[in-house]
Parts: sequence; C-alpha cells; structure tokens
Amino acid sequence: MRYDRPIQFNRNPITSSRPLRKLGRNLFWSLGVPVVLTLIALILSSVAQQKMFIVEGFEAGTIDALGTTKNIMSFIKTMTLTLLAALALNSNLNSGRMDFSLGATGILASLLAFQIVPSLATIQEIFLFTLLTMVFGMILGLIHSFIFIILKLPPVVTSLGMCLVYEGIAKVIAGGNNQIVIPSSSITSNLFLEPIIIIPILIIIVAVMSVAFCYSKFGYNKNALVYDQKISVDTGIKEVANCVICFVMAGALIGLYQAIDLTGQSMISVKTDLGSSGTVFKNFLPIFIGSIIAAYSNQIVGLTLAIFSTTMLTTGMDAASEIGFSADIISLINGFSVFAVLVYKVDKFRFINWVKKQLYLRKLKRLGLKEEL
Amino acid sequence: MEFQSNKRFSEELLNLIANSDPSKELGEKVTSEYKVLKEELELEIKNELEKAKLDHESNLKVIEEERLQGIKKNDDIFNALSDEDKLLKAHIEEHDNAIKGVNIVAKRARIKENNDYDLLEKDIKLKRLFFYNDYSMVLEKATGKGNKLADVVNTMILEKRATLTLRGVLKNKTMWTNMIPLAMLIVAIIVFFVSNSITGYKGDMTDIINNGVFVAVVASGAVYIYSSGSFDMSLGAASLMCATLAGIVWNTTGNLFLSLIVSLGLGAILGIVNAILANVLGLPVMVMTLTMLNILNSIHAVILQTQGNELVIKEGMPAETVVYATYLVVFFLLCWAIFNYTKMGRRNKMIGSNQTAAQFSGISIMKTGIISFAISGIGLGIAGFLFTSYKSGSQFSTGTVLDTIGLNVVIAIVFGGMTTSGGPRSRISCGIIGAFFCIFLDEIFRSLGIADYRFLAKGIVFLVVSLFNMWSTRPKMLAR
Repeated sequence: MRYDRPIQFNRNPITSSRPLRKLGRNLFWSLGVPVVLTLIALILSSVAQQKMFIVEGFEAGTIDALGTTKNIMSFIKTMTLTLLAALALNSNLNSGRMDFSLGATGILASLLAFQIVPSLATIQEIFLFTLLTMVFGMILGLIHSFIFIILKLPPVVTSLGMCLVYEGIAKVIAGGNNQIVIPSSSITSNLFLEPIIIIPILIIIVAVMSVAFCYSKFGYNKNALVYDQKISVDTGIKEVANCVICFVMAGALIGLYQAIDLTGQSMISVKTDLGSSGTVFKNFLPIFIGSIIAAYSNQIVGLTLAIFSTTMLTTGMDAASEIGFSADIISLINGFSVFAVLVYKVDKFRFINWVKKQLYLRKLKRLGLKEEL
Repeated sequence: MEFQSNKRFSEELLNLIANSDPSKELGEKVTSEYKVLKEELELEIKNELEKAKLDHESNLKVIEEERLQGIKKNDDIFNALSDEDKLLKAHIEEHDNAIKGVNIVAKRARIKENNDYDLLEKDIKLKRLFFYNDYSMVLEKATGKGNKLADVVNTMILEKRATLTLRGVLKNKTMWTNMIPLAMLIVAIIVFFVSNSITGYKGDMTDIINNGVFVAVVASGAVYIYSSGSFDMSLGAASLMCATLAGIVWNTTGNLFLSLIVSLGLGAILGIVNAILANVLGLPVMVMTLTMLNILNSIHAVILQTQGNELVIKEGMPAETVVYATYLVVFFLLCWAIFNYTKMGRRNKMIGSNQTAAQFSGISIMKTGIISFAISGIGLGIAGFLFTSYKSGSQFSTGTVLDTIGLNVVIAIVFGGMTTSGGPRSRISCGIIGAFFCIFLDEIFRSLGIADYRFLAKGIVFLVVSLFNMWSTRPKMLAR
C-alpha cells in the first residue's frame, strides 16, 4: 500500500527560521556593544558640547574637512595599533601564556632595525624600517619560544626573564640612553595617517589573522590545545610547532605595532626594570570584551569590534575632557570596566544559578512545600 | 613520680621530698644531687658511646671481610673454569653479576649498620634529656614552682644535641640547597666590596640599604601570597598609595603613629580587596592584579593632582637607616613566626603544592587567601610608611623605587630560592635574601663601571636561578 504524504505548506513566519534567528541573534549581540558604547561616547561628547571628529574652522560655523579626515584617520590608526598589540598579546594569552616581554621585544626590534635604517625621512626608509622591525620581532619571538620550550619554566617566569634580557640588550645597544631620536621628516608622522596606507593595513591584519586563527590548521590546532592540552598532544597535535608559530606571530605583530607607533613619535624610548611590560597591560579591556563578542562571530571579528567600541568610548571621553574626563579618570573607568567584564565572564553562570535557586525557593514557599535546597 | 631515666635520684631524697613541704633548701639539695648524678651520667654516656663506636667499627670490618671473601669465592669459581669457558659471555656475565650481588649485599649491610649505630648513638645521648626532665620534675616538687621557659629551651638544646650529628648535617641536601641563596648574597656582598676597593667606586650605602629594606619588607609579606601559588602585580602601586596617604596624614596632623596606622590600614584594606576579587569572585589573579595596578596608579595620580602633582613631606619623620632596619626585622620575625609556627604557613604551602588536595582536606582557600593578602597588605603599609619617612623634608610623585617594586618582588623571591608557583619550598627569608641580592647585583655592575649591563645580567641570572629552583617541578608538556 502506498502512503502519500499530504503536501504541507510552511505556515511559520520567516522569523521562526532557525538559521535566520541565529544570524539575527549573532548580529544583535555582535553589534550591540559597539552601538551602545558609541552612543555613550556621543552622549558624553554632546554633554560637553563637543563633536567627536569634527574640527571647527577659524570662522564660526564652518567645518574643517581636512582636520576632520585627519581625526578619523587618527582614530583608525589608534584602532590599528590597539588591534596589533591586542592580537600580539592574545596570540599567547588564550593559550595560558602571559607574555610580559612583548613591549621589550618591540623596543629591541626597533632598535636593531634602527642600526640598519638610521633615518625615517623618506617613504622607502619607513617601509624598510617597518619590514626590518617585523623581521627582528619575529626573530626575537623565535628566540623567546626556544627558551620557553627548552627551559619548560612557567610562561610568567620565562617572559619576565626574557623581558629583563631584552630590556638589558636594548639598554646596551642604546649606549645607556633612555631615548633615541630618529631623524625624520614631515612624511614620517603623517604616512600612517594616510587612508591609502592605514585602511589596507587594518583590513589585511583582520583578514590574515582571521584566516590564521579561525580557518587554518594552525588555528584549529591552537584552539584544540587551548581546550585540552593533554588530549590534543596525545592525538598528535604538534604543541611545540604551534607554540613557536604563536611567538613568531606575536613578534611580527608587535614589530609592526612598534614601527607604526614610532613614526608618530620619531623617537625610541628605552625602558628598563620591566617598564616596557606596560605596553601589554593597556589592552586587557578590548581583549575581554572581544572574547565575549567572539561567541557570536569569531575571535578576530569580536576583537576588532571590541577595539572599535573601546577606542570610540575613549575618543568620546577625550572629547568630554572639559566636564572632568581627564586621562586618569579615563584610565580609572577603563580599569573598572575590565573588572565588570571579568566578573560577568567568570561569574555569569554562578549568578544565573543563584537567581534560579532563589526563584525555585520562592516557588516552593508559595506552594507551601518544605525548603529542600 | 614517674621517671624516664631509671630512677637515678636517691630514695632518701625522694622520700624527703614526698614527706616535706616544698622549700628552697630542698631545691638546693636536688640541684646538688643532680650535678653529681649528671657527672656520672656523662661518664656513662661517654663509655657507652665508645663501646658503641667500637662495636660499630668491628661490625663494619666484618661486613667488609665478608664482602672480600664473597668476591674471592666468586673469583676462585671463575678461575677454576677452563680458558675456553672463561671467554664465554654467559660465564663472564654470571661472574660479574655475582660480584655485583656481593657488593650490593655489603652496601645494604653497611647502610643498616650505619643507621643502627645512629639510632643507638641517639638513644644514648637522649639519656641526658630524660635525666633533665626527671630533674625538672623533681625540682618542681621540691620547690613548688617550675620554670617552663628554661625547660623548653633546655629540652630543645638537649634534643638537638642528641639528634644532630656532623655526618647528618653534612648529608642534609635540603639544608645545603636552602643555603645557596644566602651564599649567593654573601658572595655578592664580598664582590661588591672588593670591586669597590679596586675601582674606587663610592656608592651611597644608606641608599642601597634603604632601597633593599623597602623591597625586603614588601617581599616578606608577599611570600604569603606567592607561597600559595597566587600572584600580585599591584604591590608597587599599592605601596605608593600607602606612602602618599601616610604623607598626607603626617602633613595634616603631624602625628607619626596615626600616619603609620593609616598606612597599615590602607595596605591591609587593599590586600583584602584583592583577596575578595581573587578568592570570592574567582577572577584570574594575574589579570585582576594588573588591572588593580592601573586603577591604583590612576587614583594615585588624581590624589597627586590635588597636592599640586607632587607631595612635599614635612620634616620630622624618622630618617635613620637603623629605624628602617628595625621595622624590617620586627616584621620579618612576625611573618617568620606565623609562617613557621602556625597553621597559616602550612596551609599556604599545601595550597601552593596542590590546591585541589588542600581543598578536599578541609582547608578554606578563601579564608587563607584573605589572610595572606591582608598580611601582604600590612607589609605594603610598612614599606609605604618607611618610604614617606625616607622622603621626609623632600618631595615625591611617581617614578620612585616603589613603582617597580611589584615586579622586583617577583625577582627577589625567585633569587631568594622560592618558586613563583609556591609550595613546600617557600620561606620568609627568601624575600629578604632575594631583595638584597638584587640590590647588590645592581651595585656590583655600577661599581665595575658597566651599569648598562646590569639589566641583562639580572635577566640571565633570573632565568638560571628559576631553572635551578623549578628543575624538579617542570612539566613534561609545555608549561601554562
């Protein structure tokens, strides 16, 4: 006997489609944080009667388009720098390796590059300097990874030791000076503010790192190692190779960060007594916000959106400096925000369970049953 | 009366004590008899030790003779073989194994004999202790009052005299390992003075010692945190906050004691806040303390702005290095006593060794963490107060020795012989030894005229010392 199934029409509205709902949810949560923080920044700047990117001209009411573009490019440059530092830190941080030596790596790499390119006056010199800083950063990252692998000491100890060593070498190369002035020209400080330079760099970083961390064998292995080191190693994932790549990648990223940052300042600050480790401390907030947003997209997109949000918020607070948002207050807000995000990340489920328990107890009480929990 | 040493005191004396009221004369009689009996006991112990030593030596001789006989017997068996058989691998192996066996048996017998001799020696020497215990008991009955402190001290001395042997001391590997940081410090001090005399460098010793004291005070308290495997990067900023507040209180009230109390209180509060964030809310310690460092630096900057970006400390606070050193010694002794003679230290070490095991054995991680951070906070308060005193009559803002103290404490603790993961090798002395080693290492390079190389040298020494300290605890896979 043949059974003909009756034709069924999908009478459900389009919003009940699971993939669409998932996409909507992901979009909502991914864009929620940037939108909210941008709104806060706009509110703050408008309360202070300032406009975030718009620069007023000499005559009242006119707008200096050039200044505005420069401000937007400066915003993108800051965002790129934060992204580079955060990515360099995150390369090892999510594998449980806190790297204090990143700042020292960048400084030493730039000093070594400076020995070959002693001036940053032309575009060619700047690009060569950038390339060399990245190469030296990779070499220093490689050395750090070898020391870490051979000594098998906790990452905190190794990175503190390497930070001291790299700072020490930098101090010797700098001849005991705390600052090395780099000969530069007007091009130097403006090159990485050009849209044709900084925007492609940002796009390339996001694209390359997305592929590397989320859609490559290296990325899959790295994630596996993050979740369970022993099982991953037992199943044949080469932990050592993965670790070396992470350190080399972090070295390249911090090298690029240092090169872009130096062009704006035209001097290398040689820090000692672990002073260089401050470079990594500044980027915790975007990293943690990024790790929350990443649940709805991917690591790199999450991080980029988080960096956009925090940079926007900082720009808004900078604009509101007249109503008391000094650099220290901004730093204070930044610190408390990190705590808030951390508490949310760590204690979210504990809090939800506590609320559920309280609701259950109330229900039991309402029903007149004995408290059993 | 129950005696431990076979009733050495005379029946006559004991009956007299039992039938009379306690008096000073009775006590004198007991003491005089004790002195006579003690001499007899010393002679007895001497004879027994000599006899035991002779027996021990003869036993060792017997063991050695048996070993040589065993070897000879096996050699004879092997030599009795034909020349062809002697070349066979199986016979050679059999002979070698037999010789090895004889040597192993002899070695084990020697170890057993040595151990037996040590135990016997200890038993003989312990007679002094038992006799002393009897004496103190009889004396207490005779005079009606005891001297607990003298009893404890003498008991400790006699016990050590019975158990400590030169051979035992020399063979104590742990003791020698623990002595290495101290030896390193002594060598560093000697090298510093030698290089000073050669190069004619005149470093300010007061400055050197003061800087060492600041780091050592913070490090002594921080050992509590590090011994349980925890971490605190905000020590520098917190101690600077304490210093600033102590300075403001001193400037406002001119009350030294109030300034100290405020500094200690703020240190303890900051420590407890860290402990709550780490142990109650469960935030990752490293990130939490780094964020706290930024927050405290910002608050400090805001406070300094209200003081005109620089805090000028009025004159009148103690400025002598001896006073600072006294604070360090008192705080060190306090930390040392709590760490070694209370449950606190053992709990910390256990948590540092294995947190899960500690938790299952009933140790409250939260409570221990809060107490540890609070003690560390008190250290911060003292360091802050001392720094303010040091700056009395001048001014400070940021960029002081306290700013980098957080990371210098980590270096000091590692140089002192501890591991950053804590555990059973944690000792309070690590903080002081490491702090001064760090300072003198810097000064050696300054005196040699190669001050720029000191950071590099410090880094290399840090890695080498860490490797030495953590050699046995290194994981097979990459560390996390």
